[in-house]
Amino acid sequence: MEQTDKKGYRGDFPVRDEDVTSSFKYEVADWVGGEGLLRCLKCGACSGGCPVGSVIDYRPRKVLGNVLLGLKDEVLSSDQIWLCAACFTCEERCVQQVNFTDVVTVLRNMASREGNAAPGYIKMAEMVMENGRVTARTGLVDKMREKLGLPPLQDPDVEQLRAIMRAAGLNDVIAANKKGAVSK
Amino acid sequence: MKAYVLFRGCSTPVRLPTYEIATNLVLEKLGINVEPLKNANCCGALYIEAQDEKAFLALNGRILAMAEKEGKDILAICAPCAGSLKHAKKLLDRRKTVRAEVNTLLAEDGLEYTKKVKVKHLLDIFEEDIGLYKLRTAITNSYQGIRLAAHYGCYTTRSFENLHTGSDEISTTIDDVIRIAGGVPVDYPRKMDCCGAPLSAMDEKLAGKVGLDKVRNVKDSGAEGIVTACSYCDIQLSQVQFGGRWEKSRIPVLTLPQFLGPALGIDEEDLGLHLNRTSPSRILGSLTGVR
Repeated sequence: MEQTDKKGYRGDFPVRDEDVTSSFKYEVADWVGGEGLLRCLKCGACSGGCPVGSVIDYRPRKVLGNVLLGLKDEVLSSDQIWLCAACFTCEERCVQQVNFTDVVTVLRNMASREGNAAPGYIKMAEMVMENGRVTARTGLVDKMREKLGLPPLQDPDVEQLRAIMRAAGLNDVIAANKKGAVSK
Repeated sequence: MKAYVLFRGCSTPVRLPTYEIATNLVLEKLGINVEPLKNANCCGALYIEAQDEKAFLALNGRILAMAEKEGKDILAICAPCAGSLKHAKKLLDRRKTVRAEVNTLLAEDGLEYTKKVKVKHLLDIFEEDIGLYKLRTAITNSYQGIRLAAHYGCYTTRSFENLHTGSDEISTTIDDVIRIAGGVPVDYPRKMDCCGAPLSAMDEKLAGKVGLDKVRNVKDSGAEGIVTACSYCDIQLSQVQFGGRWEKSRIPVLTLPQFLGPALGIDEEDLGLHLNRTSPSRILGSLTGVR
């Protein structure tokens, strides 16, 4: 795994048997949203239209290729699954209805359970848990709203929401990632 | 009078309240009643969906169920919010077991989602409820050929119900509204591309680069302003112009109802146009009527 750079690209390094989990693609396809993966022809239409790929060396096809090849540890621990902007352009253009954005969601869910969620994402989850929203109300905001003739902003019923989120497992995901950060 | 509950999301009411008030005023003028959905939570967008899909579906299921309780369809003006709700609705509607699971979670809150409620983005309202013909008759103070670029925002153009048709990629609603209000819609390279904002949780520099690319393409096309239909995009496309040496040639960014409002005879100050981060005075100067 040391043979990849930060963005998760292998470059010219060979794939070794011990890096491959051949059942990985079926694990992904078993999740809701992951079914399309097995239809991938690796044609590259996804990479061609990717807005992130136009700025940096990011290629959805490469991510799909790595998943199909079975590079489980590499895919789930690297940045490559977190660089997708979830704009759905590739999903719309895909001739095989692979649904790359949905596949990435599955991969991110898998990585999050293993404590490999991107820190920025964990922060968002914590804010939702804490306030029920990801932006904070301030006195300045209240004043601006008043000036515009808008009603004051009310906070959602956080207790109820927390109970729902806890039951949905969001707490466990946050905990898994906190622990991961400490033990690293 | 058609009525909607407005799901305002997190960003709009705090970071872009001018979009909220402008939406209220413009829709009221066009015969659509909008009431905010009170006590609503965050939709979680792609961030919660990425970490725990069940939590994501519960967050959105809660919003959908709250609107059902009010007996009205949902209007979302932020693109990721509209997208999340539409996407979650699709997943919940198509999978009975998932829906049952989410409803079990919501039952503690006394809520139930029954598939009834519809979700619309602001652009859907213009297309489906108002109609461009009616809009044309409502214009009282036309712009005089100001050249403007539309930025759609990924989730506003995706139907989610029916992806893969490719037709969503050539949405023209904002361009149509610009034309009807007397402006000249300008095409530019990579027009339908993402603004980069969703990347900011992962890599802020990269997000800024994607956004600045977009702004540069607009400027190269000769447009004098950007019209948006999403708080997230609007904030991003304004913000990226404030780093580095971009001070001298900032291009104004404003939301669709803020652009349309003055043409419908709504007071500019009421629309919060004086509070915009990038001054829209060049655009407003193109209005026919006396200001």
